[in-house]
Amino acid sequence: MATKEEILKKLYDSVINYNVDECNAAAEEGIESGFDPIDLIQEGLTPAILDIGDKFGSGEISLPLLMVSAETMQSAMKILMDEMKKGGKKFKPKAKMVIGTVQGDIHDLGVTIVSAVFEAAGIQVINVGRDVPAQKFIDVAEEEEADIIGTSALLSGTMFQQKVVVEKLKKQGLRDKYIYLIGGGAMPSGDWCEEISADGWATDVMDALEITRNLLLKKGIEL
Amino acid sequence: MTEQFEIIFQPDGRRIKVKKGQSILEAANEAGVDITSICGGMGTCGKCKVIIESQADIKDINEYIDNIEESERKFLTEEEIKGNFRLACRCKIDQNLTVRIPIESRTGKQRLQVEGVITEVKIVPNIKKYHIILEKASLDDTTSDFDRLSQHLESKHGLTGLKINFNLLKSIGPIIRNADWDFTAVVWNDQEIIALEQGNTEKELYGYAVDIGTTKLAAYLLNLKNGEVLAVGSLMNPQIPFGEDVISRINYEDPQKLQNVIIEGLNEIFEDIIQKANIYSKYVYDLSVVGNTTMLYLFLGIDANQIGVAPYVPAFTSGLNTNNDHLGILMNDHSKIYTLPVFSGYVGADTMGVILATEIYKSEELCMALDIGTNTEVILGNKDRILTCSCASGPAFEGAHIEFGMRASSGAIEKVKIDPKTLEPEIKTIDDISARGICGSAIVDIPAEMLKTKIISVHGRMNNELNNPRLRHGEKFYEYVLVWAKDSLLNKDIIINQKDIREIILAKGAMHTGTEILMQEYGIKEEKIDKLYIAGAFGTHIDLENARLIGLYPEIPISKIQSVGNAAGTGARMCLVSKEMRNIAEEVRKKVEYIELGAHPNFQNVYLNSNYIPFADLNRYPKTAALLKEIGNYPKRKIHIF
Repeated sequence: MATKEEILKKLYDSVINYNVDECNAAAEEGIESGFDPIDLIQEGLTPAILDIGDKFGSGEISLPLLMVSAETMQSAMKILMDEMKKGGKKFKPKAKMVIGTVQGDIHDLGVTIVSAVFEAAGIQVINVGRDVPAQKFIDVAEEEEADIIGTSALLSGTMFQQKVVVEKLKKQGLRDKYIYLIGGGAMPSGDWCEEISADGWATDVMDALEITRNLLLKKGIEL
Repeated sequence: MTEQFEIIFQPDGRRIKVKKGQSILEAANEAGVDITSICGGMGTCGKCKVIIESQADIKDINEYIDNIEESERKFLTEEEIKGNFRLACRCKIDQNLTVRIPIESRTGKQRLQVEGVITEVKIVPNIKKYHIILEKASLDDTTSDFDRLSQHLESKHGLTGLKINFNLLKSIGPIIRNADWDFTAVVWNDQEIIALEQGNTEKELYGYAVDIGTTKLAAYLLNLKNGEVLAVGSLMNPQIPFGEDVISRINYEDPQKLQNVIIEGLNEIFEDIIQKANIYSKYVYDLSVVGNTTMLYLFLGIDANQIGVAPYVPAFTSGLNTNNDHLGILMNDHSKIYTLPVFSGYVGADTMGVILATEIYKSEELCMALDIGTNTEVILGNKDRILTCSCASGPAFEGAHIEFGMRASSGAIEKVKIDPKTLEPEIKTIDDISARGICGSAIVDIPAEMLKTKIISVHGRMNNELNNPRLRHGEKFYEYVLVWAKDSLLNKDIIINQKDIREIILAKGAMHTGTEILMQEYGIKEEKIDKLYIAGAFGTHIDLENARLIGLYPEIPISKIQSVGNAAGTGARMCLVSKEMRNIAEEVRKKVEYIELGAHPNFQNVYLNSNYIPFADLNRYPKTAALLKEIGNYPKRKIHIF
């Protein structure tokens, strides 16, 4: 019978080595051994994807490998989450985020990367897609009772949509309800974030996660 | 700490900080700005004249003039001195300055590719001149001037339904009478009279062809009687200070200003080339223009904002004829300016130029063409079907986002070879001086050489266990030293790091994605491609084998690849001398299918697969795969293909 440490190491290693079969097997083994799926996710999978994120930041691993590792992790995570559902437990995510690319813009690779890494960190991500009208971000966030709204804009011509979302939130008396994050290559500095009074901005996924963590902490949510 | 000052060079828009006491020439060289210096800065040739555009306070003009060195006075006229001209090599910097380098002080050698493939085309003139001697009007014959003229042209030359430029019509009477009824009529497209000139000027018939590149302008002066190129000129695009790339220029708040500076820049080149050829601008009657869609729109003064936002739809795509009365180009006042048709917001008239120059539109063979520049356009097809797309490759191959990247000019490393045993590099710089940066062609060589010498893997990861003095951990990223500080012009080691490699892979990945998606849409793989054309200055200077090795394009035999230089410019010239080509261009416009890459369902997967050196699927690169196996750099694990 494998110990918990051994299972966690298998989960971690298989994500780092993007080996789907081994990862799934480790998840199954963990379940059979009676370990708590939540622990397996948070102590095995999550640290792995966060380390992958760091390696991506330093250029050590490539974009496709980041995606493969993320898919590996998501595959095992599904197994573990299904197990929890069986047991009547629900993996209540620590936080929920609505994310998408703004209206007039169809660049979504960044959103995909952020979704993968944030999910691994325990945030449930609802990706509303691309070329999304400002109001839709708010409507979905309300419906899903999200904590965070994130908008991505890569074209400087569509950046203003990120401001439109803030304006609508203020008008509808919802500004303080949500943490509002902006991303995408359109604004390479913090000036835009300050100008529209967003809560945070980033162009690197690990920076984004760090900022989000801190903002959630202020709201009393610990990832 | 020596005081530092900032110098801005115009119209290049380049800035550099230099130490007090350095000369403007030194600053220009360091900034990579094109300036002539035949004597190498000794003050003996007088070729490096520049204009000081702003100085904090030229309070006392006399004092300013006194500061001019004796050696400079030899080369500067009174007028020039009053106009703030100095010799760049003699003028020492002691405050922040803006310096303008006029065209006569430029070498034009900044690898501004103007030469392009020469494609034969039958001259079908768009402008014709007719020497006419009219019967004077009299009491017996009171036919109006215009009727008299057009009846003559109809009976003698079969021209019917002739119109006349309104501004010309305004003074048709005085012109004809001053010429004593003996003049030459200039007719555009057998439809409109655009000029009336005294006497017989039939011999003087000239036109311009122009490529308005995002970064570089290229212009040609042609004799329209025989199609001969008389002079060629080029200039950095003067819009650069207002926006490095297409998107930032679309979003610039004053499009009128952008239109003004481009017309000024073009006129500067035109002034230069008509002087070189010794002809009068009034005898230049036609202008044929290529450029990407945004460049064309900004030139014509058409609103380009919607190109910057999805779905990126342009206002119109046909070829246009615009009266010069609206634009003010240095040519005959009432000329019409022809802009070639475009395909979409991002695939423009320059791509049309390439299609015409390479004759893909009538080719039996299946051809692919890449126009590599600030954006890269891909064309795939033949006489039956043509597809095209635009890839946002980004400016990595122009030096941006690369630690020591720079544009191609003096001192840029342009070629790199790495010894597989010692890992020592062999480099060549432009003008063979000490290195001060890395330009595009070397940016292709480096990942290729690193792959061949096992410094990097197909994943693009640098091997950090190699124990070689050239490889080390830098401040933030792992790096390879190309040039030690003592051998460089910068007193710093010139390096390439892991992050630079990632940027290069991202850029070439975008281009490769374009080629792959078009092949998928066409339903073929690279074996079916008979010819690959590489257009653009970049294409002329890169090592084609290395480019293929890193997966810039599919694995096609080198024998099937041809560099065509500024083929877009060739296309502009073809349409200048032949109005038949303009009709063909219109047909091509309707026939070519544009594929929006970002909206393509396979885009993301193909893009991820293209982020390898050369490609996730090594079966598509058998030559490279064999090489990798031979040297022991073939990936141990199977690569996941999205």
